[in-house]
Formats: sequence, C-alpha cells, structure tokens
Amino acid sequence: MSLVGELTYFLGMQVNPMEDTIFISQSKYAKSIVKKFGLENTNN
Amino acid sequence: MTHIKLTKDDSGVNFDQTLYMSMIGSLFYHTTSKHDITFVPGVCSRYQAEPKTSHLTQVKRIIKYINRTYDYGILYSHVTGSMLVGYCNVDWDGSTDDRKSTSGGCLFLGNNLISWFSKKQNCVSLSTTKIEYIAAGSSCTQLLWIKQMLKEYNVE
Repeated sequence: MSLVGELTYFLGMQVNPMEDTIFISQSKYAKSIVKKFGLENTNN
Repeated sequence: MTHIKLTKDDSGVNFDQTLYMSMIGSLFYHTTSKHDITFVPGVCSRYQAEPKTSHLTQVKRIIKYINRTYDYGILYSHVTGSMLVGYCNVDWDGSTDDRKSTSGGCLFLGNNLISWFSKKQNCVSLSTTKIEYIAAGSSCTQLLWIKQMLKEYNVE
C-alpha cells in the first residue's frame, strides 16, 4: 500500500477541495456516457 | 418527462435489451453525484424486461440532459450548521401499469445534502394520505439511521 496524496479522482468521481468547500462531480464520467451512446452532438 | 406517462407499450417496436440495460446502468451510476436525475432512470428501468423504442426515446432525453449539465455536482461546505433535516414527497398514481406510487426524499445536514432516495412503493394504495405516510416512514427510517450514526461519530 502506498499513500498517493489527497483524493481527487476515484471511480469516476471527481473531488475538488476548495477553500472551505468540497465539490463532488462526475463531469468526466458524464461526458463519457454521452459519448458512449453517441449523443454528444445533440442539443435539445 | 414530467407530463409524459410511460407505459408498457405492448404494441411498440422492441429495442435491444442489452443496450437499454447498459444505458440505465450508466445513468444510475451517474446519480451518485447528480440527484436531480434520481427519479427518471428509475421510471425507465421499470421497462427493462421488454424495452420499446418509446422507452428508448425517454432514456435518450435523459442522456441529452446530461450532455448539457455534465458539470453539475454536489457542493459540501465546512461552515454550516449541524441540524439534520429531512424532506419527503410522493407522486399519486405515478405508475400507469400497476397504479403504485413513488416515494422520494432527501436529507440535509446543515446546508449539505447527505442522503436522497426515490423508490416505487410496494403496495397499491387507495388514499393519498396513506402514500404520504409510507413516504414519511421511509424518510424517518433513513433519518433515524443517520441520527444514530452521527451520535456514534460524536457529531452534535
């Protein structure tokens, strides 16, 4: 086991620590599912 | 989707079940950071046994929504109160096929969203009061569990 620093990305979850908040999102994963099902160029 | 009632659509055109289930699975995983789509994949997942193109249209709409809102997430702040608050609600007669209602709820610790759920109720009900009680019951279960857990962690 090794210590790789603060958690930033794990299983598609992005963890962004800011001053006194933490923002959790899956924007990379979201983009990948849109791309996987071929809907990235649709707008409505 | 709010005004669209999905049904089994027996006369509809069949769609590849494996692909449909894969789409639903991907959407469910995305709900871990995007609670605004907790309900809709649940509705679409009811038709996994025999997906039709009419169901696929709705799943595609959810993915298109994700395409526009991919950067949404949950913000947790350190500076916040520690009051545990729960909300719950229910849709009346939400499922056209079996007439069961769906409970939904969310729990906040201070300003932070810590738990949420959306689940179709197990029984058919004849009164709106009863379905509200069922939803309140599920919410309280969750609330008490978190309350106990906070106590164990010594969070006031």
